[in-house]
Parts: sequence; structure tokens; C-alpha cells
Amino acid sequence: MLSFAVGRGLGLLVVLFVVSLVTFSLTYFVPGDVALVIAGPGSSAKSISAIRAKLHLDRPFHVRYAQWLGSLFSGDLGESAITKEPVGQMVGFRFLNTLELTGAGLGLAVILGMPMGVLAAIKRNSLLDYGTMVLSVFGISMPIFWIGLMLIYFFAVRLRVLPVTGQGGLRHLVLPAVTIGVNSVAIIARMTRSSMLEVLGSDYIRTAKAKGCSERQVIWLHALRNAMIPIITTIGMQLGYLMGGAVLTETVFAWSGIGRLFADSVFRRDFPVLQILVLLLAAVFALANFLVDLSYSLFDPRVRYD
Amino acid sequence: MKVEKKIGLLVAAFSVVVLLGTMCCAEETPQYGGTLRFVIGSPITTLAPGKSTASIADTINKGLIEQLVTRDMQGTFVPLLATSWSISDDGLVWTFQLRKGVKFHDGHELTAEDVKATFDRMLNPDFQLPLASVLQVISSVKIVDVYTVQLLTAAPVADMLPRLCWCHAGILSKDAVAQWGADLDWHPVGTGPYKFDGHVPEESVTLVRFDDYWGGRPYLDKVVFLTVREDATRVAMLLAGEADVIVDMPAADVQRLQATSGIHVALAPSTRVAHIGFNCLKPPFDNVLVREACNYAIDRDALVAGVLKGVGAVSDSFVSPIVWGYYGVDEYSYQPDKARQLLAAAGYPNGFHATLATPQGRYFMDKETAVAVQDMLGAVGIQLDVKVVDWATYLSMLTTPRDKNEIELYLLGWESGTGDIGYLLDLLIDSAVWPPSGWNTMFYKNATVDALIAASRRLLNPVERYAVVSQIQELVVHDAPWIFLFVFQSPSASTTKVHGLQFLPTEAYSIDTVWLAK
Repeated sequence: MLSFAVGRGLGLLVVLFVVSLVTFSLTYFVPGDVALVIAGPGSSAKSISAIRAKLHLDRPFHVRYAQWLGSLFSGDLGESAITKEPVGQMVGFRFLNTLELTGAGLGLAVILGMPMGVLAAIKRNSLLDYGTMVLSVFGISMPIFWIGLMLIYFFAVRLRVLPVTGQGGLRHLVLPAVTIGVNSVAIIARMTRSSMLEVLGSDYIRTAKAKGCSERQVIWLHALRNAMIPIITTIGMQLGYLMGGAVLTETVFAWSGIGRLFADSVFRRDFPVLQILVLLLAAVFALANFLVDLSYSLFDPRVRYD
Repeated sequence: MKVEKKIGLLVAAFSVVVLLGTMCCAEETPQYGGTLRFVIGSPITTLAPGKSTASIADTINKGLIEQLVTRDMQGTFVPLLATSWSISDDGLVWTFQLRKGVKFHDGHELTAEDVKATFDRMLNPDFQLPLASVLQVISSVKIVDVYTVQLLTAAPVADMLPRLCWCHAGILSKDAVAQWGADLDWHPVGTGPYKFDGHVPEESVTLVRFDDYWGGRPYLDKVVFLTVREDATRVAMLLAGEADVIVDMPAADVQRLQATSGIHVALAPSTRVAHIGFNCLKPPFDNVLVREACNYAIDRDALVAGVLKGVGAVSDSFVSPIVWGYYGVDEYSYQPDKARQLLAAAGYPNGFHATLATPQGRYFMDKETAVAVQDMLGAVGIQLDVKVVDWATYLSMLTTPRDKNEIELYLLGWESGTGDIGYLLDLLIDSAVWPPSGWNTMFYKNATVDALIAASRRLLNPVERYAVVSQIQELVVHDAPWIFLFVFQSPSASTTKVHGLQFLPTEAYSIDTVWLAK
């Protein structure tokens, strides 16, 4: 088990190194000059060169990369090229905000989606089943942007029961979490349903029923536990998807998170911030995958790590 | 009726009238207190004069930092931190008498030293402030006595006062300048009615009331500028009561808000002119007949009515009518037949193919305008591809030097920051400022125009100067380095509680005159 964890840890480091190198190289291939963006229209040519020199953009690739790696290892995450703020400060609270948003969204998705899927599987081909599946198609197809704006329009503008923007408190979290979670509810519901259907047709379920287990025991103790592996994998993947898709929800609700920071950094060519964000997201993805893999042993005792 | 009753009735009637009168007038008496929530669409990256950021930062700076001179709503120069001024006979020395008893946010009184520190900072070659060129007409600043300061120039500067009204020409505290120098980004210590109270980077900027303001107690207790990027969300915030003022709404939202009760929409003319620039070095746009043809092919009235939904005005020069020096050249009415004739005369009877680059979301209805232009030019045989480019790439593409520059047509909107035509003549029209030296991204050159610009710089007599700049506009409009499109109007929407909000000729909203009704 330990060797498994250590192996995965080393793998993560390799992934992060390669990711950082690739992102750094993008600065050479992507058009658009950050010095020009900072100086702005109407600026003098000399001031643009001065900014370029200050940001060390005139130095060769390997020198800049080595410098960046060096400062990273000594704990200095760098400064934003645009706002001059320390990157750690910029990213820190925004990461927590996005985590709050995606956590709430995913939590909502699991709480709603799994029972929906289970019920649909149990009551297969009933009205409930068809209704759930139609709803899930809706959830997968509707653009996040549209859902967010519609929710704002109905609940914040028309009914005035919830705020449009702002953070800190459950009231502010409801609409954004629902917006970001709708898509995941649908996907988790469908995956739960199909996984459950597969399991419900197994021999051991028939045996359990023959043994005299109650309906509830059969479903929640036997069937669901065996169905969990594909479901938990989907949930893990959803976490990655949500972190990436948060940019749309964050833009609509003016939620200060890393999704929006990511989009802004790309548009403004703020590479110091972009580097750290890419590393962060890569690490989050890797960690999520790792936790999902570990959880397999919880659901299936036959799984071993050696 | 008995006399007593008549008198009684008269008194009663009079009282009612007086009461009604005071009730109506009470609406107009400014009230003190409250927090104004001003929601904007772009993040503010700096408040340091001389550095570039979203143009709404001018509004924030208006509350914080004051200039020597400013303009009123009619465009006349009025004293602000300077009570009077005079020019020497040779036109090279401008002397300003400073207002006495003006306090900075850091407590000390305004003297000539602060003025000198401010301009020295702007002109400091070590700082290389990106926008400093506007004030580089000043060669040095001399302190005469505590309240008298002189600005010396190497040659007569015709538009000195407009340059001093410019939003980046506000007077800073000498101590702040000494401490922060170029990087005054979040230490804008000025003399304005509001002082800087902190910011959340990229999210909000907060100003609070400055009790020692020389002009009397400011109306508001606090002003918060919130950045919300999504247009629809800003509109929702206004409708839900989470915002007091919003700006930069798309055309459709302007109409919708105009129809909503409880919301007041204001459209103010701006100095910004939307245009399609030609790369005058690239065939077929090196031929003036082709450029003129493009101008005749555009139905500007339809553009303003259809795409902008009326939020804009047709342009007939490269500056807007509210800019000093504006001279409308009545030339390019909608004549598609004439456009085709000119194209044929130029050697393109069957039109040609070209690419129009445009940003999206940078200017009011920018991409929609580009698509409309594509349609109108298509009707006379010019097939355009509209290419949407992100802003950072766009700037690089436009300012690439001539041999590598691939732009053929581009959409842009230039404002005249000083409210005077001299700003754009220097920045844009002069052939000395082709990229990479400057922003004449049309690569336009007309030797006569260059000579006239040089002459106009020194003409202190406004009548003489106007004659010259009118000539320049005649020539430039006929040379057509642009397809002249329209003059932007700045839309703002506020709740009916907000009073006194105006959009000034210096492209800033007057938060110093805003008050909130309870």
C-alpha cells in the first residue's frame, strides 16, 4: 500500500514537471505581448520595452525557466505580470472559493443524483424512470451560462428571495451551486442507474433475495455497494470537470474563483499566474484520481495495491 | 362669500402651494450619507496616473485626485486647484496661482512643491510611465513661491489647458510621490472629496468620504466600485437592488432598461469614435479611391439605428463633436452606386477579398458592427472575412511594424483623452508615429497634414488654431485612412435614488456630484 502511494507520488511530480515545461513553452508560441497589454493603447514604445525588460521577457527560454523553477523551490510563487500582486495571494483565497463552489455543486449532485439513479433502476421502465431520464437529458444539454442567468432572473430579480452576487453564507451559495451542479446531477444519475441495472441482474442479488434479505438491504447493502466503482470514478472525473467548468459559473455570479482567474490570465497573457494555476489544477486532478483509486478498496475488498 | 372666509381660503390655498412647493424642491436638495455601489465591467489594475487600465478608472480617479484646471459640462475651463493662470508673452511659461487651504488625504496642505513633484514624476525618464507623452510638452516645473508654480515649455503649446485637464494630470501628494514613485498604483493620495480605502484585487475598489475636503462635505459616505464582468449579471444586480449604478450595457439592455420603471438610463456623448482603420500600405487600400468607396458604401444611419439601437451618433470626422477642434466634414453619405464607380475607377470592377479584424466585447457592439460593415461592403462587391481576435493578440497585430504587419482592416475606437483634437493629432494622425514608434496603425502619411499639425501645436490663438485643425480634418476625411463610423455614447443606468450623476467631457462620471436619496 505504501509503495503504491509513493509510486503515485513520484508519478505526480513527473506530471507536474512536464506540465510546467509545456506551459512555459507556450509563452513562445502564443501570439500577443503581455508588455503591450500592460502598457495599453496610447503608450510610448520606450515604456513598452521598459516593461518587457522588467519582466525579463528578453532573456532566453532556459534561463527564465531555470529561474522560475528555482524561485518555486524556494517558496516564491512569483508576481502577477499585470497586477504585481504575489501569485500565492491571488490564487490562495480564490482556490478556496472555487473549492467551496465545486464542493457544494458536487455534493448537491451526489445527494440528488445517486438516489435518482437508484430509484430509476429499481422502478425500471416506470414513469419515474422515464421522468428521471428526461430530466437528466435536460441537465446535460442546458448550457451552464443559461441556467445561471435564468436562475438569477427568477430567484434574484423577479422573486428577490436570493442574492445575485456575493459570497459568504449559504444564501449566496445556493444559485451558483445549483448552476454548476445541474450537469453533474444528470451524469451521476445516469451512471448510477446503468451501474445499478447491471448489478441488479447478477446472481448474488438473486441469492440475497432468496436468502430472505429485505428489499432495502438488497438495494443499499448489496447492490449499491457493488455498483459503486463506476459511480465513484464518475464522481472523481466530475470533480475535475467542475473545477474547469467553474469559469462560466464564476463569471455569471461574479464569484472570485480560480476558474475566472484562469480565463483572465489567458486573455491578458499573465504567464506567472497561469503557470501556478496550471500546476495547481494538475495536482488537484492527480489527487482526485488518487483518492478515487484508493476508495476502490473500500467498496471492493478484493482490490489490493501492490 | 364673507370676507373672513375669503381670506381664510386664500391663506389655506397659499399654504398648500407653499407646502407643495417645498415638497417638490425637497427632491432637489442634495442629501448627505449613504454608500454608492457602482458596478463596472472591467477589473481595475492600477490607480497610478500615467499607467493604463480600464477607462472607468478615470471615474474613480475623479473622486480621488484633482487637476489644476478642469472643464465644466459646457467644455469651458474652470479653476480647480489653480485659481488663476497666465501665459507669458512668448508663450513658453505658464504661471498658476494655487488655491490656498487645500488639504491632501495625508493631511498636509497643497503647495507648489506638490505640483512640481507630480509633474516631475510623470516626466521622469527612469519611470517610463506608458502614457507620459501627453505631458512631455512640459520641459520643466519651477516653484516661484509657496502658492505659485510655473510650467515651462520648449515651444508654445496650444492645448496646454486640455492636457492639464486630462485625467492623468491630477496633482498628487509630494510625500506619496517620494515614497512610491512610479508604483503609486494603490496609493493615489490626492485632494479629492473621497479618499482611497482599499481594494480587493480585480474585484472591488472602495473610497470613503474625506472630511477635510476643501470644497465642503462630500455627499456620500462611501463609494464602492465592484467589478462584474458579465453584462447580464450587472443588469440583474441593478434590477434586484444590489447595484445603484451600472455602465456599459449592450444595446438591447439599454432599450430594456429604458422601459423599466424605477430605472433611469442616461446616454452621454463621448469623445470616442468608432472606425474601421485601413492599412494604407497594403493594396488595394493604398489607393484612396478604394478607401473612399468603402466610406460611401456604409449606411451609417442604418448602423446606428439597427446595430446600436440608437445608442450612438453618425461620425463625420475623426474626433467627436464634444472635442475642441471638431469640424464635421459632410462628405460620405450613403451612396453605394458611387462606391461601385470608384471601385471600378480604381481597377476593381468586381470588387476584391479582404479580412476585417475585430475585438469582441471590448467596445459597445464591436463585433456586431464589424458584421454589419461586412454586409454593407459585400453589397458593393467587397468580400470581407470577419476575424474576431482576442485583445492581447489584437494589440500586437496592430502595432507590428510595416514589413511584418498583416492587418488589412481593423475595428477600433479612439478617444481624445484631453478633450482636444491635439491629443489624436499627436497620437494617431502624424506620420511620425507609425508603429513601432506610436499608434498610427493606419500607416497614414500626408506631408501637408504633418506640416499643419506641426503648425497647430504652436498656435495659442484659438481662432487661428481652429482654422488650421479644420483644414486638417478636411484633408484627413478626404484621404480616408478610416471608414468613419459613429461616435459612441456612454450608457449608464441607475436607480431613481441616485441623483447628480453626469458623464463629463473628460470621459469620467462625476461621482463628486452624486448624492443618494433615502
